Amino acid sequence: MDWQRLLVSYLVGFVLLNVLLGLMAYMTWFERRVLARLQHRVGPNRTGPFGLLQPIADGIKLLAKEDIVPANADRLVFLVAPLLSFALAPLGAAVIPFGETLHLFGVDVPLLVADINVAVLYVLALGSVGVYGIILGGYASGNRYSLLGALRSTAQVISYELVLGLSLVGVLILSGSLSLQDILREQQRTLVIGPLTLPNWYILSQPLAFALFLIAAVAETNRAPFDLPEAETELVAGYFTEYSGFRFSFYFLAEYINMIVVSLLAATLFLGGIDGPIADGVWWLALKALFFLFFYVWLRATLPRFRYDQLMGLAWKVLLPLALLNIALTGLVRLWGIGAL
Amino acid sequence: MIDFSQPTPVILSEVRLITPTRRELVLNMGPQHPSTHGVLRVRLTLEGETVIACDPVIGYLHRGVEKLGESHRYAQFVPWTDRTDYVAAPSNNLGYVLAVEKLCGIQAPERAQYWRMIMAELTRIASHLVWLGTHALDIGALSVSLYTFRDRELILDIFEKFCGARLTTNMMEIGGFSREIPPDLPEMVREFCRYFPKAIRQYEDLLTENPIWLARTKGVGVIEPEVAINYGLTGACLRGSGVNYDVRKAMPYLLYDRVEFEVPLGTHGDVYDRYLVRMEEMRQSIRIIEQCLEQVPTDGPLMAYESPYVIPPHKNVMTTAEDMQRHFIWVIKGFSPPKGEVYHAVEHSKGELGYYIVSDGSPIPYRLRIRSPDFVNLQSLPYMAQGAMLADIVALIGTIDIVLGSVDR
Amino acid sequence: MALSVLVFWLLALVSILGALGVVVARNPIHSAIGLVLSFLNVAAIYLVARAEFLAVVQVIVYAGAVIVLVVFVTMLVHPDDLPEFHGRRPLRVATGLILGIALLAEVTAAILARGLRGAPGPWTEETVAAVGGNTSALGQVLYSEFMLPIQLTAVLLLAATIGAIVLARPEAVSERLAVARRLLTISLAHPRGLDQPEPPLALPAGRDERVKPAGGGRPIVLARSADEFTERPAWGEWRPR
Repeated sequence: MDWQRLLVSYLVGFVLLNVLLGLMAYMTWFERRVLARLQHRVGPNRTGPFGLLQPIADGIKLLAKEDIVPANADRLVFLVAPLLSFALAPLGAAVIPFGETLHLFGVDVPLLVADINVAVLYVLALGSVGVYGIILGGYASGNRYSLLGALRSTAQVISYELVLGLSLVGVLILSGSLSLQDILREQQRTLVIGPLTLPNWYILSQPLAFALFLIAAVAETNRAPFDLPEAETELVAGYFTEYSGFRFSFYFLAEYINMIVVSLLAATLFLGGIDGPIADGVWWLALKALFFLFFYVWLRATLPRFRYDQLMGLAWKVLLPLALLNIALTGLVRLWGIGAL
Repeated sequence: MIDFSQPTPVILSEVRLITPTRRELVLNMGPQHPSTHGVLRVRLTLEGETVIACDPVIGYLHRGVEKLGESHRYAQFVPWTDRTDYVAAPSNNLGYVLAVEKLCGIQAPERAQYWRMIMAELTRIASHLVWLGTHALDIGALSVSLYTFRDRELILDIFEKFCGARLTTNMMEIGGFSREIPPDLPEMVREFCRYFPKAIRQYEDLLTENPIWLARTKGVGVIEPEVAINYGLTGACLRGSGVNYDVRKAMPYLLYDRVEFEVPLGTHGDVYDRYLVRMEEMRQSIRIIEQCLEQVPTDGPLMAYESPYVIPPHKNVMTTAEDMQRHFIWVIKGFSPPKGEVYHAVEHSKGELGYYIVSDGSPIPYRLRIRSPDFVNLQSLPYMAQGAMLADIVALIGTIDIVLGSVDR
Repeated sequence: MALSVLVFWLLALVSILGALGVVVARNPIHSAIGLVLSFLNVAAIYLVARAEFLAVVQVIVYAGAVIVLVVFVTMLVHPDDLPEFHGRRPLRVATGLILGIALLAEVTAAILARGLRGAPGPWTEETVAAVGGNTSALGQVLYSEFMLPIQLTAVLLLAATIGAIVLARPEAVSERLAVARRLLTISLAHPRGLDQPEPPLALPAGRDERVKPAGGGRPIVLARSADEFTERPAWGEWRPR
């Protein structure tokens, strides 16, 4: 029985990983098309219908490039760092519930890879380990731009991870659990305020936490306007300046996978995940995640980049106090029972 | 691994030799760097992200344009001026031909002068659009650059209609224009003037009140008016600091005294003020173009053919013996202006662009010197950069608005 | 059961190898990587022991924050400023050995005294399950029985944070900048640079119609001729930096 469960979750994980890799490839296509639209351009449209084969062409190109190791690089670390980044990125998706348990051929197939009861902390832990890919890559390149990019990135990820974690505490107080499945179950209840019947999505009860989470998630994934570690106009390409070929693509893909995972997480934590007005299911999750992905691209097309000190100031002087305030408020509400909704 | 054990001495100026201490990091930015606008190289001494010293190194695009001017006949040098500041070629042409005309005592016909003004102002807008796009891109606003380049295309279309070229136009000639104005050109320009204010509003929507843009530009790279004057800054770099100096007002050339326009002056002298000043300059340029289109005569000569220094009209070359001989001499030997020296400055989009010519009476200038505005303006970079953050450096390079072809010449 | 014991030994082995790497590696960054490896394996051992909260906190705090800071500092510090760890000094080696053996003995004694023969305490698997799992149980113990120690630790951390901020104030930078600026002013070779500041100047009166709000709370001044605003710069706020 144990072996069977293990096999099932292995299979689910395998399918999920492959779907994620495919999605990530098409995320690059999606971003380029949407960005192009926002900028009065056409975007990739030559490779296949609507440029749909573009990610494949890009992949072939990147794999065929020479893998250059700079002479003054710390060779072993340089070679391993991108793998670390890439390997850790999809793990976060393992705890996201994609639907109710299916019954296939007499076997229960839960549509998530691992039901960990500290799932939220697990995702945060992945983020904090994921920074090693960046910092070691930047250090090992032996390039000053890479070094500066790595330093920026480290400081940024540590600071925003704090905000990210604290912004989730409100949700955890309301749901009383660290398990994503429990959080999801809480959100599937309905909320009745007078004549209105609303889903108990945490975006309604925790709007401040949602905003903080969104900002911190953008910073955590190193996307505009917080893309300082790879600010190409200042640091050339930041920590992956010296990388080429498939090692470069590993960093690139890790960023996109992180975006997808964070979007899925935001949808699950604040927007009820698979919950929808009609026909609950994975499509609702996909739709919500797609909205967040569009939001990422939209931000990139619209906003200039923060400066390093402004970025840190924002995290420590604005977002962190707000997150603490949110925790205090949520705690008080919970304590006095106003949150009996 | 980075070798910290070998400190590199950084020469900032003659009075100062900085050897970085152990806590400082020397960062070489450029000449192959995405935001140094070509081949500028900047040596930065950093402590953390704070810039201790900044030392621009120029000359990577030096082609000896001044020396080329001293070995070419006067009319042959006009295309070379295109290649100094290649994003504002007609203004360069204008500065040079006005200097030569001053030397020879030629006065271009009124109609040509109006069209020169129109082209110069269109060039100013085109150049400011390139500046705005790249400056915003450096600060991270990705989309603005594509919007500005979209609208710059319209100006380049006008140039193409007028002279056949888009970038290196070789548009102005000594004495005026030898080609007739295409009949639908005025309408094209008018159409552009109707459209463009909307485009400016679009850029301003994206930037002017954007909190991140304000945070990145306000209080960054302040140049006090005294310092700006001492550095010899001109153009928006000077006016952003609140000093009222615009060659079009101070020493009116062409017919700038016949049109109404205002010179915007900044109040704080930072990157944001220079941005505001340039945005307003684009609006004022539209005003000037509109007035020029109203005042310009619809027909009349475009070339001062009465002058002996000007190429004879094409029709006469084909029909009269004297003009055919004159044309032959003009092309093969060139014309010989009177002896003397002359300096003529125009308000280029980047500042005061001056041409200084010494003539010894031969068909080739004895000395030709280009006072390029961005070369002078770039000297203020170390001043602005001290104590700035690393990310500010790209904003500062952007705000000076340099084109390396013009800096290095 | 046999499987989890095997996994434990494997994890323990890798963890010890990582710890050895910390000591043996000559490059401080490689040492840090070894330490991360060791910490991650310890976290995995916690996981095997079904202490998943502890495991995740181990990863977030030690592998995530502490070692990242170590790497951060190592990258910033000049290699020559680092203490020499690999000198062949017999006194140092002996001290290390004695301290190591003492620590090992202490830990062994503690395990022998408590782990094998001591009472297991009130928290058995059943009581933990009754309060809703490991995490809840830990939270309840920490915030009821050990409330005061928790508060004291928080105060200690706060004091450390304030201390770090006080120590890290950037004095050196501003001093060097001041020197550099003075030199630069001299190099300008102008009679009155920043050393003799002008008094604050006001916008000439009666020119209000020339001041146009331009956005961002900033006005710009529109000059109609070259003679306007020339008596002084048009703005009065500048101060020597």
